[in-house]
Amino acid sequence: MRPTRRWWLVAAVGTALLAWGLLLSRWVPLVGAIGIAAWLLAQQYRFTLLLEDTLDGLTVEQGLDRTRVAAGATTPLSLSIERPTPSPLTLDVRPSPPAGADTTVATVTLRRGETASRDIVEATWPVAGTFDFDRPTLRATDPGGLYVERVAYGTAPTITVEPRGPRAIHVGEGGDAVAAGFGEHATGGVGSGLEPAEVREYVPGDRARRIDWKATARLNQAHVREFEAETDRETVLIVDHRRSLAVGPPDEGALDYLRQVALAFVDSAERLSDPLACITVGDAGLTGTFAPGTAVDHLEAVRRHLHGIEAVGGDADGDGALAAGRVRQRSPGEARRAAARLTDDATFATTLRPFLDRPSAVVTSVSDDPLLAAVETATTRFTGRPWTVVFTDDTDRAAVREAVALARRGERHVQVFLAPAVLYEVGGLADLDAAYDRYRSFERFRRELASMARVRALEVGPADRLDAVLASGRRSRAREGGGV
Amino acid sequence: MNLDLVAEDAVDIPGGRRASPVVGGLVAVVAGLVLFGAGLPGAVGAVVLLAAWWRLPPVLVFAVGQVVVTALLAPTDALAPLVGAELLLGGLLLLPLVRGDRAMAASVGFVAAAAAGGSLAAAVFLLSSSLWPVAGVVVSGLAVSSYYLHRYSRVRLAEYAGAVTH
Repeated sequence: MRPTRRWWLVAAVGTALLAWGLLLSRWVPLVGAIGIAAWLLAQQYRFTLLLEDTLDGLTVEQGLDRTRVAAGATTPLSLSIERPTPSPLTLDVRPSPPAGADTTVATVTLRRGETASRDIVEATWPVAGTFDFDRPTLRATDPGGLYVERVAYGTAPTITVEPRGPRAIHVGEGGDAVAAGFGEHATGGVGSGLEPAEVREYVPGDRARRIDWKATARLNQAHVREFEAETDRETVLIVDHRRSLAVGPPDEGALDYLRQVALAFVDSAERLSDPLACITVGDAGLTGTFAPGTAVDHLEAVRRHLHGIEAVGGDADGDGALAAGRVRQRSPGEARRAAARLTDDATFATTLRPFLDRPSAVVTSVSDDPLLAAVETATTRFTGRPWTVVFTDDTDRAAVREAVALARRGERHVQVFLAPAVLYEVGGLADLDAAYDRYRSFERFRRELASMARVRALEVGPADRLDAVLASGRRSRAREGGGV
Repeated sequence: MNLDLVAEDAVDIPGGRRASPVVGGLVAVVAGLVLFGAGLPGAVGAVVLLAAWWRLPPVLVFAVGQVVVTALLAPTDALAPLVGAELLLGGLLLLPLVRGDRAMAASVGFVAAAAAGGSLAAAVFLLSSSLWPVAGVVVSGLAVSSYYLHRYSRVRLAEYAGAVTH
């Protein structure tokens, strides 16, 4: 409870009477001062009682029409005050939106004698996160204007602002979602580690300290315990963000979905301490190359880069020189046909023939297809047997096929995440039967890739749209009695 | 000066202001007592009081009344007009409390506080024969009582609101 300026004025008048009485040595002004002091106390007491009366049954609500919104969305923010009986005091209620809200804070006033007041303003949520409102601040003023009181009173809702982007991401095969976490991998072997794998009989050469004495005592023969081997698997992400991936609604296009999966790989690499490399490729060539690394800063830089890429033609970075200085790519088929034409024994033919006969001729050339150039970069720069993960779409299937074939050379494992264009095109589902046919075509392509050794191909798309397409397919099959 | 402090029977008066006729009646009686007790100079005091009623809220009219009474009635030996004027001036303070919400509690509170303050002041004066300790008692009594009510309100409000901010 705070005194207002008016209180201070009245108190000053009382003090003046007191001083005057002392100055004149007369008691009458002192009586006046005592009267004013008693009057101020009575007003304060009355205000306390009225405040209790006012809060009894008072409802103050900060209301949002939903608890989850997408970043950048605007929601109505209502503030209402209600009492079953007329308010004995004038109340000013000020909402307390969190810092993440961009809104005009308007005070709602319930005047003395009124029972309800309400106001609605718009709040914009530019930043993702979970935001808690504070309770509204209620300011009560006593009828005489001598005191004010501020009270935190009312509801304090919470709102979750989700980042803009795809939701309900489907990752799977032939419409069936895969359950495994992205980036997680089994070693397939046993060795030293922490997770127990098996107990086996002791063989000469095993180190004595690996003997499991409990098992040995139980089985009456020397046994050793094996543990899951722990390995750090190097992962190379190749993320395609060429113009064809711009298909789809804003923030929910093919690239946005692929980006989410790629970011999941980054998270997984951080969790498992796996070295992670990343190459991004645009229409003009490579737009980013990150060497393998496990440092938090490195992974954060990859994350930032992935967030920043857009599906438009852009300038290539230093590695774009690869693309800029590229020569015409020759596919294996073209190479074989060219070699077949070199039938003579001229110097030109004898010099050239070994290059064309070599199965890796296509690998050593630098492609004019940016995706192929990216895979080429990954295979030449990052030695060893990294796990190559390619994110692209199915618009240029021949190039994808060659890129995957190139990526799996050298016993490398490849995972391909494909965004079926039919699931993203605006209006692509207008004719569901046609969309289903296109999806079947995509599925054949995906299976073709998946049939390659050490290759796993997965589709990435909006679950709801895929469900619609598959439902259409089921209806068609029901009509025709056929299947995919 | 906002005239919210005027009782609810306030009416519009010339000059775009509002004043209570009941307060005006009290002031008129006090003015009459001043005139009666102080003679011709009392007329000036009566005019000052009526002008104060015209322009100021009751609590300030009370203060002006104290000045007038001290200046004109206290020097005389007319005890009855003096006591009468003081009681009527006290009515000026009581009136807004009687007419407002929670009238009974506020009025009883005022009378109790005034009686307690007056008794304490009289006791201190009788013991010390000086007005200075009386002034100290008045100031400290107001401060302590006001702080007590402040703490009391915080405790009561915490039951409703949980948090009181400043």
